[in-house]
Amino acid sequence: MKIAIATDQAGFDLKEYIKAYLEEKSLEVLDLTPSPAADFVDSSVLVSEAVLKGSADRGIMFDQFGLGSAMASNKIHGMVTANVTEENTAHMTTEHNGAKAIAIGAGLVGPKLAEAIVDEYLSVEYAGGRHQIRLDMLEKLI
Amino acid sequence: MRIAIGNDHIVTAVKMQISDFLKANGHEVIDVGTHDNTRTHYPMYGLMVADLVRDQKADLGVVLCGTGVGISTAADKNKGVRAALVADPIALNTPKNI
Repeated sequence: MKIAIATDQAGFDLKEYIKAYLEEKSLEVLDLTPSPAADFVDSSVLVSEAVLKGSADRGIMFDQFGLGSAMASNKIHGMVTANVTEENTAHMTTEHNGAKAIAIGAGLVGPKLAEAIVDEYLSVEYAGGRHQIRLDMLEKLI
Repeated sequence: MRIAIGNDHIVTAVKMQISDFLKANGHEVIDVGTHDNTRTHYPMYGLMVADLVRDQKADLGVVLCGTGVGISTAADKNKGVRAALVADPIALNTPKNI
């Protein structure tokens, strides 16, 4: 499983922390911002492109509140990014919304909670079935 | 303020609590549904709220679903509208400033 990650300045330390966490678990990490992006729009677009193109299977965006990265990247056709602050949403959004990436706000989420969120996100698969019609509807919007 | 509100079937009761709360605080609430617990699909309600906000028929929108991800993503996927999933009030100033 290849995981694309990117961040702006506000999310940088947490990104580094989680990158080390993932690499310690022998997961393949594609760090798209070895130095921080100027703006969470840039970093969220980098992750979005990676997952949409298939260069990565999952994506994690880091910024101050998570909501900026989600708000910006959800404007991309085919992209579904979930702003996640706890494990339940990490689980449910992957299973039901087919979340292609999650966004974590470093200003809200501490390192250990970020680990728990990421663990949950990576352990769940999209359930498909009755949820697909909703994803099809999203693709008809932007 | 005029506040448009929309939800899927999972959270209709919560939506009603919020609707009542907003009305008690003097706001006008435009409730686009859903109005019961029959299974439906969140994107439709996200779209309806987004349209009202974009067309300035509502000043603000509130959308709810199980995690908030699906319906806020649906609301966000509309030109001229920005929708955010907000976990804590400290992030609340940010969407309007982006």
